[in-house]
Amino acid sequence: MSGSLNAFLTALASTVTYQRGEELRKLLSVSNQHALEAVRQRSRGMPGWDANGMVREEMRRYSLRGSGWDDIFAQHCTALGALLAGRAVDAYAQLVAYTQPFLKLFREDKDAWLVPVMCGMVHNLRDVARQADAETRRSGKSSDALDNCGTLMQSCFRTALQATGNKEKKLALLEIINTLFKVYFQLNTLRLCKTLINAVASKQFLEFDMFPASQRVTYRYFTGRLNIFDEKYQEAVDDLTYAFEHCPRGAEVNKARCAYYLVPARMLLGDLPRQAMLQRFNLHHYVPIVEAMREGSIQRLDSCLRDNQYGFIQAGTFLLVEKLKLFVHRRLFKRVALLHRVQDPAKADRLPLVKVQQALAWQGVDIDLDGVECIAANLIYRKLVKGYLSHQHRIAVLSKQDPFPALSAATLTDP
Amino acid sequence: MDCTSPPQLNGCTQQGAGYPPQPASVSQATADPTPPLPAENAQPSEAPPPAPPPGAPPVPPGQTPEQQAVAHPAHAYYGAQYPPYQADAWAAYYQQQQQAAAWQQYAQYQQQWPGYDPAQAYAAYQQPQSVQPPAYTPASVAPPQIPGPAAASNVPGTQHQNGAVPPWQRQSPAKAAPPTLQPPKQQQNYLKQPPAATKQQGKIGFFIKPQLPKSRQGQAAAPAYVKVEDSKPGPQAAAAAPVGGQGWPISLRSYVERSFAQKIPDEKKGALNVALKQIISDAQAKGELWTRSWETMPLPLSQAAETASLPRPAAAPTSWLAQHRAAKASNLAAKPTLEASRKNRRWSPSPERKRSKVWRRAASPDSDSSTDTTGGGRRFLEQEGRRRAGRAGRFGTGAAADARGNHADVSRKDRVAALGEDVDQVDWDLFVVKGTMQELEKSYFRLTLAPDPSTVRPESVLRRAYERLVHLLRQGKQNYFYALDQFKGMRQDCTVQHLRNDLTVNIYEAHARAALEYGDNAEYNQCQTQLDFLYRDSSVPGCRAEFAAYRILYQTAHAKQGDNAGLLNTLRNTLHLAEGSAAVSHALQVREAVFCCDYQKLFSLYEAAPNMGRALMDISYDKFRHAALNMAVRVYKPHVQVDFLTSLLGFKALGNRASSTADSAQVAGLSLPGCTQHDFPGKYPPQVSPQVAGKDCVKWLKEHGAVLSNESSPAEGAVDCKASANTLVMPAAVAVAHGDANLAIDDFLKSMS
Repeated sequence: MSGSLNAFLTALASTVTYQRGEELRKLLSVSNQHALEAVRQRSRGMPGWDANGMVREEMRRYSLRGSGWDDIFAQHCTALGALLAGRAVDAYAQLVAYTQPFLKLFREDKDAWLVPVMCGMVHNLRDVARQADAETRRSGKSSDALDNCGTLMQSCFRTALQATGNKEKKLALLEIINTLFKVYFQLNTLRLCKTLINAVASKQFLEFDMFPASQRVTYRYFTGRLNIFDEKYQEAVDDLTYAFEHCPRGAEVNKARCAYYLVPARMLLGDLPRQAMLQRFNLHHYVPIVEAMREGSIQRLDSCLRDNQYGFIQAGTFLLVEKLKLFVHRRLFKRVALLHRVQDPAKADRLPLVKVQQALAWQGVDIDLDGVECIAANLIYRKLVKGYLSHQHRIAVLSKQDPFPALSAATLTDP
Repeated sequence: MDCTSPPQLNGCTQQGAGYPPQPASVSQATADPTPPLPAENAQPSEAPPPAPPPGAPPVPPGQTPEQQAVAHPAHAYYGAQYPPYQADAWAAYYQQQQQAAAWQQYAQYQQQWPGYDPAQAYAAYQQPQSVQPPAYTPASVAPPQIPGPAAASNVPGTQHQNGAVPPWQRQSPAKAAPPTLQPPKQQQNYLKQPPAATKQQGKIGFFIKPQLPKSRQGQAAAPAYVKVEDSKPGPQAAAAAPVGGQGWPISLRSYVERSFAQKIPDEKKGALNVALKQIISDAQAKGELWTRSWETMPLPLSQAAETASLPRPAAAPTSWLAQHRAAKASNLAAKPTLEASRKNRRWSPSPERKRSKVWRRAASPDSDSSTDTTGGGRRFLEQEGRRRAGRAGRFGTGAAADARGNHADVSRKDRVAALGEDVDQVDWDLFVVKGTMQELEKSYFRLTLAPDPSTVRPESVLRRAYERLVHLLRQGKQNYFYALDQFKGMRQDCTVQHLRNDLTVNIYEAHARAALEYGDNAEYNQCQTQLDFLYRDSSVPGCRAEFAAYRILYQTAHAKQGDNAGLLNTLRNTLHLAEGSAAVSHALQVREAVFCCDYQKLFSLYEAAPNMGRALMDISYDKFRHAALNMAVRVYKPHVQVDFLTSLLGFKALGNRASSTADSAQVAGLSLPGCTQHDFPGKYPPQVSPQVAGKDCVKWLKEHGAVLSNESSPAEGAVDCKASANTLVMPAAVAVAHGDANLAIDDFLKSMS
């Protein structure tokens, strides 16, 4: 049984000796079932074995003793043992313990072979920190492992950013940044993302296209989401479109994730999605919204917002979708105006607000005339409708030419 | 990668998910897949394999494991619970590495010394090996085309047959190969060299010696100072030695012992500790740790030290022999106190300390394995030593340590030991104060020293003090300035005593309300942040819904500055409270009105706000009014009636005051704890009388630059939209010399004294 652990260590040692970063990353992954199995076998066969001493001893055979790797491997094996025993907090402590030594090796490395290992390290940290948090929370205490993990990964980020010795070490940056994004999104400390984005945008950063497509897609996906929060919808659409289009065809789930944010953002810019698109990516939440926008049905939009409130807030699209209300109002005004034109062609451009109120009442929305005036005022103020209001006569005077300009001309933020 | 899932099939492994695939030529049936078989398994009589798990097939009696191995090679070694595919995967990977490694090395040798005969170099490696399996024939790997010598021994296959396997691949037959069996030095250096090094051949074979201080180089080699390891101590081990227990000069140790052996009063022990640390770290920082003559140094806190407060630099480095002799003598003399002094050393691990900061502790090099610490660990410790020196220097007189002299029930030694450690690792629970103060009234004073228990109120006194303050506020007998001072004092008492219970929550909540009522947003924010932490602990009671509503309102007021993400997060966490709480659902309505720019609804909600909601809506109320007027002026043509604006901008009361939503305390006719008023009217209370409302509105419109067309009668007056469009302004806030318009000048002056 111990053979497998020895073989695991052999594999580790030889990847280090021959500088095979990609293989080492896979071997050091905390979810590597082979490694977990090896440790499980060993601890079953030899209860109470000391991973520290044993691994260090073993590493001497591969002349890795004192290189720093022996400690790292020993602590990694201890961490795996703790994970198997369901002690994620201990496992996380072990991971944290060997992060600094690893960063030291990374810094001193002349080559850039540790880049994939660095990516694996940050993944491990985040994985185990989340498990540790879940474990502590189960016992009813608050936990800050993920918080701590964020700080630790910041130091990984700095190390990779300095890239002492070899500029290619910066290739680890984007993956670290992506993992940090994930942590920050979970912790909701989004303002910390700004520095990372600034780093990517700076001139010292590597060419964006030098990074693998998977990392580029992830990065643009997160920046797109951040732009949605910041109400920069055009940038958000650009980022998300990039992410959506560069996803490999097979990655349906990831494509659906991009689409989940891309669809409402594009709706805000005036593009309604096709039914097939919503079907393909299972975006059924948006179906009533699209219909409401077509029909001008406030009631439909409201009920959809109410039903999916939790989901939208969870995903962070709630405020975005709420903004679509204005568009629905505009569509309703447009339809009422068309009807009014047929009914009273002589005064086609003078739309009585009572008629809008009536339309809303048919939809089941009870609102007084002042409320309708407020809606109309907002529409005109935000350039969704051209014209002006008269409070005395309770009418909206619509512009003679193009009273309902294209949606893309609307100002969504406060003018 | 898909290495996350265990390979269920042999084929899966071969696809190279987690490990390099097994070469196809290795057949399981014919080849023994376990060349790297460890000794325990190869010799079952010595280390029998663990009992098979319940699912394992029973071992037929009378069949030795070897026989079994013939029948089911993989099963015999790994048991049924360890399926054969895995063993194969490992073995194959291993094998490949082995062969590749051998080849790489061979190629290296060839490149450097073309005439080199590997057989000679490998001769030193000959050692008893278990019979190599047939799978190791070189046929499985295509040999690289290297124009090597024609000698048969150079053929890679024969290398394997001879057992000339690089040491990191060879499985030590544990019994046969003692740990002393090290590969020759030359060989080892090669192994350390990465393959990339073939490009820079000049560097091969070198390794950098650790830089030791000159005076120490002899000592490092001396057996008395370096821990004897079972193997040749690597450069790291030797370098790491100084930080371990053996790493300090013996003369220094005896110096420390002598210092502690001095007859000094107990209360000065702390100061002694600090002084010693300072001296040592000073020496460390200057690099004189090993050169300073500790025998002649004046002891800290002794008369001699008073005269010569600075440590004199050593005249000359003393010889090792002299040091050794002196150390021997002092060791003999000071033996009884050795244990005591060890306890006080700051680098001694104190196991009784709780591991509250698990991560940080783990991140620091473990003192148990100090001989194994890497270079990084050593540097870390050195830097740490310097930082500690800086910190220790802050309280040069040791007054801080003395001030803590009378803490209850924790031994002084523990605390001092804890202080000496990194501040991050200090277990502050040791410093919990148990207050003894009995007065209910205590002014806030920002601590500059450790808290004195005689000025801290215990929990029971705090409770009465809280009741008293709330009562005084309800009676209106005290103003906010007094309350602020008192609340801050109570908060401090809670903090230093680590109180986190209903009392703490009450104090923070009351303070938050008082701050809201007064309009002190900074103080409110502090309380809200602290409450957020307190509420995370589900066992603590509190007005969660009320403060969730405040939070939503606060973030809504600031939402236009772009913290949408923060607001969303609050919504995420508070939505479940909306069902049962009028305050939260009101706050959610306010948020919706603000985001949809439904100003009319927003201003009517102001009137209906429960609790202290109006105080938070006040923050941006004027801004929203201004925005509404701005919109009205741009949208209506040619005029907009003042009468309409009076209701649109919320000057006129709609009579929807929240009575059913009031808190139970308010229903009983009491104000909320911390508030002086029963019902907070807010800064912009709408007026019931239309005349008053109209007058207010006209006044406000004028202040904000609107152009009125008929000023004489507000009821029929109107705002000229076209003229007003470019004249609207936000009036500058009323500026007061001392910065706070609400603060009475008397209170301000009192705060300065």
